[in-house]
Amino acid sequence: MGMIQTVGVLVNTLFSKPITVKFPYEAIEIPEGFRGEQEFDIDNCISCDLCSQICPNKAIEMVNMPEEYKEKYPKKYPKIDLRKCCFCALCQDICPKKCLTMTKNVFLSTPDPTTVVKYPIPIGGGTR
Amino acid sequence: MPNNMETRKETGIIEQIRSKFNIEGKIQRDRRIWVTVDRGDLIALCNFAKEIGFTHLSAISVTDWPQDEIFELTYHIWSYSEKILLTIKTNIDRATPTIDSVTPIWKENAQIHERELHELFGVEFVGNGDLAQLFLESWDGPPPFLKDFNWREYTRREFYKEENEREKAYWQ
Amino acid sequence: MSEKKLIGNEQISPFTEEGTEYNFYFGPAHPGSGNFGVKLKVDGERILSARSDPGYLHRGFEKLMEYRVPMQNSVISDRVCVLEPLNWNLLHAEAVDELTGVEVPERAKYIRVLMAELSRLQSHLIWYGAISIGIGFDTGFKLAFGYRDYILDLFELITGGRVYPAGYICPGGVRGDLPDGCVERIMKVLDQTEEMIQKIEAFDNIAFSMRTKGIGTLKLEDALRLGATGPVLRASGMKTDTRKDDPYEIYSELDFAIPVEQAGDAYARCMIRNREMKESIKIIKQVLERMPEGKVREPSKIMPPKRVRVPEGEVYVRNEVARGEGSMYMRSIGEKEPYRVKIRGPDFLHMIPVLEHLLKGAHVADIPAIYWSLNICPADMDR
Repeated sequence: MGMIQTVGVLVNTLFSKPITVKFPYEAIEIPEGFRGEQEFDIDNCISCDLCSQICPNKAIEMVNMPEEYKEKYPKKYPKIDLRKCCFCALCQDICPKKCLTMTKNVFLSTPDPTTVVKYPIPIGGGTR
Repeated sequence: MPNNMETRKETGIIEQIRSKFNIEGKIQRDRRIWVTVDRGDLIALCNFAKEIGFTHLSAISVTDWPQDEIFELTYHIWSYSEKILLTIKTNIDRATPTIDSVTPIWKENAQIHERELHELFGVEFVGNGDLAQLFLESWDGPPPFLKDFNWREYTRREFYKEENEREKAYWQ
Repeated sequence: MSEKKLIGNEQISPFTEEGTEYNFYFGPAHPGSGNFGVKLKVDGERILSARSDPGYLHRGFEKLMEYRVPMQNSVISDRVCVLEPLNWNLLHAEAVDELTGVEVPERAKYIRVLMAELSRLQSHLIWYGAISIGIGFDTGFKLAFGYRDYILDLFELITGGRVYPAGYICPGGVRGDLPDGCVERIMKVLDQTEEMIQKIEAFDNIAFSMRTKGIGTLKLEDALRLGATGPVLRASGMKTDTRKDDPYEIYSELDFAIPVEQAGDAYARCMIRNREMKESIKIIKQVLERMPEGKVREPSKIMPPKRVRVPEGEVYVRNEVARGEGSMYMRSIGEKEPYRVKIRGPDFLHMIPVLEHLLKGAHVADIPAIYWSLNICPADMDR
């Protein structure tokens, strides 16, 4: 009796679709509200400094912009060190103008050290 | 009324403590009593508490008050039969912190709590059989949880060969 | 075994003067022990004495919390015990709520209990996987971690992260409301968990009863003297549960039973956790039926950290985490950071006095059964 059940399960799994997800060519769907990398909207920022005060790991630092952007953006803006960030989204919750939001990007591992720090506008040839 | 009955049980215990030791306890809320004693009466009060049913020592803690130069010890004891938590607080001198151990009363349960506090605060518990090192290995600095131990300076002095640019936010 | 300097200042050499006695370090790089080591003195196959060696995960939480405001502390409080983060979030949030005297909304209390019980379920499934692989039953390990994944997907939907909810249960309520369609998904996950519990009961004869019956017996007076709490104490015959004796949140309005066993051996501890999983499912179903509408946090916005003030006072909060009794003592002097936080984890007592007592006189081959039946977590021992 047990043998028949075993053969039944064997035949069933021989002809069913594999459930392995072939990462990195495909990925599982990520739901809304997932706390991934931040996205910063510089035009709405009022430089209130609340995001850098609330960060538990002091990963956000307010910096001046380089020369070519200084007249459009004269104040200080947040620079996020992704190596220290724990993705807790407190900076998103406290921002009064809602210009820091968490996206669903979790594909952050990189061998390239120029992309581990996130500037308000990507500068110096880096992509962040 | 359940509320009145609970307060009556706590009041009963406060009455017993007042009649025996002449100290005033405080009822914070349901199932929480706080009592402060002198260090000389601590062992007698703990023995009395164990007799009236407080058999489970939940935690022992030390709070460091460097301006007043005292350590404040708190013993949190739970009674399974009465379902009440009694906290006993006492003060000891910060420069020479010694006190009698409660290991004869609550045995190994108290021994391990006192071992941890000896390592982290430097309090000497007289009569505890085993005050060996627990978490830290080969530690020769001051007890680390004291308020005047600046652990960031200590780490920077002992272990860093060069400045770490990512840590500069902590030194502003 | 080499004769190198192993740990601390003590040098362990493998051989002593007598012929069959030797020292044996069941150590922290062992796949079956977590970040924790036990130094054993063994004669042949029988253990003569054991000495625990904690401290591999000591991060100094009690001092870290003195430099951060309550909202930031709630984010790091889920790393106190990695295997059940939401229960420790709840403990910290209750301590701060009692100090500030805020009135937590009803809906938030129900969501808190829902998340705490789901976390207890997934913690017991980790335990089942770990003890299965400890006694050599590989199928149990794979099934348990597979079924746990459904609960982690639920956490991802509600809190935004699979393992670390980043302070989802925060002082004042919870950080966000349940999304739409959540209740149907929770019911489906509960059905899948009940399937797993049926499989656990079916596996009982094959694996567990042979390896765990009669092993590691803990008598009631020893359990009380050594400070055991939670399932370890209930397996020795004492009917006590912090959710019923010292109720918090809305547990006094819910209807659930407390499983108790009398034997005190490893098998009894396993049976208790299986029955606790069924009780947790009962609690979750009651919570979902009775949940009211309303706000989920009081106040609704996060206060800027420079303006936070926690009133002066001291509290001691006790909760039933999955492993036993977890408590927190918090003292505040009116500043925005707490002045002293003392965290008492259940495993601080289970891994040092209770384990040393139980390992004396046992066989070396029974170490995994005893060790994992206590359901230890080095993280909340070391903090």
